[in-house]
Amino acid sequence: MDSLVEEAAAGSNSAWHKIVELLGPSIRGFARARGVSEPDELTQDVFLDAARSIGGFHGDWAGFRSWIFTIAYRRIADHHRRNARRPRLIFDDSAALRMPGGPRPEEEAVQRETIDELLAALHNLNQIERDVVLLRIIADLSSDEVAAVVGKSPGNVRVIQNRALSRMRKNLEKTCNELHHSTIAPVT
Amino acid sequence: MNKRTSTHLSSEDVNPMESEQPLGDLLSSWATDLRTTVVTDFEPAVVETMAGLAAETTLVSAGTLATAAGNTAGALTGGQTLSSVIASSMGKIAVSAALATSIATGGAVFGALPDPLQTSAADIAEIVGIELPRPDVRIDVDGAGEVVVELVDGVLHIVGLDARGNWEVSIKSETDTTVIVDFVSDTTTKTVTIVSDTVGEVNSTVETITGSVGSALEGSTAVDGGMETKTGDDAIKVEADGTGSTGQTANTPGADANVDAGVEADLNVEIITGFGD
Repeated sequence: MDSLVEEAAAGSNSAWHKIVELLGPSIRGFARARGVSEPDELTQDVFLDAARSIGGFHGDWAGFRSWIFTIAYRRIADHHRRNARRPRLIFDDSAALRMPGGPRPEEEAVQRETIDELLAALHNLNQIERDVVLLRIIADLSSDEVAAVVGKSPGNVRVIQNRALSRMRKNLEKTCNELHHSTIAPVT
Repeated sequence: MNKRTSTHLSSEDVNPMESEQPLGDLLSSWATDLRTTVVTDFEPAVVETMAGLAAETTLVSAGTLATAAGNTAGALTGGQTLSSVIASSMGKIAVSAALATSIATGGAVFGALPDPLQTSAADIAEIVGIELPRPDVRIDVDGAGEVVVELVDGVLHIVGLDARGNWEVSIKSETDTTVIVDFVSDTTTKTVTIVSDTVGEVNSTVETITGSVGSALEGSTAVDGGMETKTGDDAIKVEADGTGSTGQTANTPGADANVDAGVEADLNVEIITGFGD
């Protein structure tokens, strides 16, 4: 795997092919979960950023994964900051922005709904807690790798993660209990 | 239709939770569902396109663009313009045409491009020796709020301050290259120091001071610093909510007061479970 990074830095198409295959789905998944409206485009931007800077990267495959998710993390932050201060387009340009081969709008809508339902479990977490949880689950990064991505100490990340998961567990249990009680209606 | 990737939780992921709950834990199920739903494979054509662009960009950044930058720094001769150099150097990179046109017409110089293009413009212009304004830098202050700054002509400007919940924010000092901002709550002060260096990078540090130094206990009065006191006949127990300071002592006539803010916080961490390594 380490040689993959070296080959990519030398401009090898096959090395980048493998990297996109291995990391692209997780980057796009993280972008989706963070509410990016065009996750394919953001993923492409992340790889272009990485390609521009890979000459200055020194490290192994694990370091490369952290590095590329750091780029994604910053890109996503930029995306939300930009969207927060710009008015939304009033026409639907999703078809024009969609990558070839990507899901159709109706498939995207169903998928989005499912993702939103799953993400509801994160509703009472703050942003850094959400990021830590999503990077652990979706990007499959270790606590140390997440710490490198979000710019905090590994110990701090573990505390954030533990608090977040504890709160989420309570939320999920509460939701399940409510569902259970609502489906077993008392006989009157 | 995208194929779903097969996913699994590693042993590292589920380990702490297994000690409290059996397998099939709600959280593990949720995590698996989320990963399966959002992480889907790319179509081969998409992988091909992204990999091709990345490989080409690597080559351009390593060689061709550097040569072009050298040419530009020396002189634009033979009818060359900055935009033509950049455009020819960037080849198939998607942003190149818009970027070159914008630089040529002044769009990028005034920060008028959308941020991704502005960032690309700034990166490329850095190579060819032109300083462009960089997009805003957002500093998240560990749950207390955020500070947004931008660097224009080497001068740091505060663009936004946002304090969350019960935090209050104030600017402690502001110079061309350094901005210091305080976030203050009842129990904690977070001091953010933002510094720009000579190459236009913006770095920040956050210093946190927790607890209210010098708070005193008298009788059954409350303790400052986010702590809760419980009084009995002959003792006072103080509990901190994870952020209380340690080392505080108090003397109450007729009763011993033991303040140990760390105990509750540590217990909290131990009770809470996670995926954690």
